[in-house]
Amino acid sequence: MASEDNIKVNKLFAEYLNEISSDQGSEEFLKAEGIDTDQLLSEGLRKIKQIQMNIASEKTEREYQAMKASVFQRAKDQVEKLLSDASFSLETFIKSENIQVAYRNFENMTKDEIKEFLERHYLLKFDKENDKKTLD
Amino acid sequence: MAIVDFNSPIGKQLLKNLYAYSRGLYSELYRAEVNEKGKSYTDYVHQALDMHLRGKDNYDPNQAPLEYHLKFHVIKRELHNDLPTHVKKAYRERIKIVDPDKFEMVHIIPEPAKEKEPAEDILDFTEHDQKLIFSEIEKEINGDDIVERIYLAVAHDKFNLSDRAEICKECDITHSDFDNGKRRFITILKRVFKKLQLTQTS
Repeated sequence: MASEDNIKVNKLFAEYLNEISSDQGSEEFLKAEGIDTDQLLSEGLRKIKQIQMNIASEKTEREYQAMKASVFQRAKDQVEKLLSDASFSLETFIKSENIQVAYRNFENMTKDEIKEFLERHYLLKFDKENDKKTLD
Repeated sequence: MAIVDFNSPIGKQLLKNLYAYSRGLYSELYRAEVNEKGKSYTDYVHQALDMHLRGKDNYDPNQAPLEYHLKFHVIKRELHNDLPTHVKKAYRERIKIVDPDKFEMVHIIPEPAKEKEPAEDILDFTEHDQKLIFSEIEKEINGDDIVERIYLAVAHDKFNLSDRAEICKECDITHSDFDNGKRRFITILKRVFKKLQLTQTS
C-alpha cells in the first residue's frame, strides 16, 4: 500500500515537474541543467522533419505496393480470361501483340510456362500504361 | 495527427516544455545519462512525437490539450515502461493505491482535463528520500509563514498550486501573498529535488 508520506512527496514532485516544464519555467530549468536550449530545439525540429519525411516515404511505398498488387491482379485476371477461351492461340496472340520471342520457345512451353509468360507480358503492359497515365 | 506547427513560437515552447518534463522525470527514474535501453531523456520526447505524428498515440483534442496528453499519457508511460523488470515488479508490489479517486495529480491547465493521469505511475521514493525531502523543505521554509501555509495546503490538504482561490480561502491569505509565496515555494521545491538527484547520483 502506498504510504501517505510517499503520496505527499509524489504530490510535491508533481508540482515541481509542472513548474520546471511550464512556459515560464522550462527555459530556466534546461539552462540550469547546462543544456543549450537553441541546440536542443534545433535537434528536435530536425527530428520532427525526419519523422515527417519517413511518414511520407512510407506512404508512397504503401501506395506503390498497392498499385503493384492491383496491376498484378489485373494481369492474372486478364490471362485467366484469355486461357479460358477455347479458341485462344498463343501464336496468334504473340503476333497480334507484336511480341518478340523465338518461335521454338513457345512451341515447347507447358501450360504453366505459357500462363507465366502471359502474366509477365500483361504486367509489363499495364505497368507501362500506368507510367504513361502518371506522366500525362 | 499533429495540430501544432512545431516551427511556430507555440510549437517551440511546447517542445521545450516536453524536453524539460522528460528531463525532470527521467532524472528521478534513471540514474544515468543513458538508461539500460540506450535512451536518454530526449529519446522519449522524440518517441512521443513520432507516435503523435503517426497518429498512434490515440490523441483526442476534445479530451485534453496536446501538451498534457504528450507529457502524462505518452512520455511518462514510456519512461515507466522502460524501467528494468525487477524495478517495475518491485514498484507494483509496493505501490497499491487503495482509493485512486483520492489521489489527484497536478493539472497543467486550470480546468481539469478529461483525460485522467494514470494513478498507478506514482514514484516510489524511499523512506530515506521522503524524510530528506520533508526535512529539507521545512529547513528552507525557515519560518516563512505564507510559504508554510501553501506547503501544507499542497502536501497535506491535497490542493494543487493552480488552485489559487481555494488555497487563499483555506489558508486565509491574499492573492498577492499567495503569488509571492508560490514563487518562493517553487524555488524551494526546485532546490530540494535538485539536491536529492545530486545526492542519488553521487
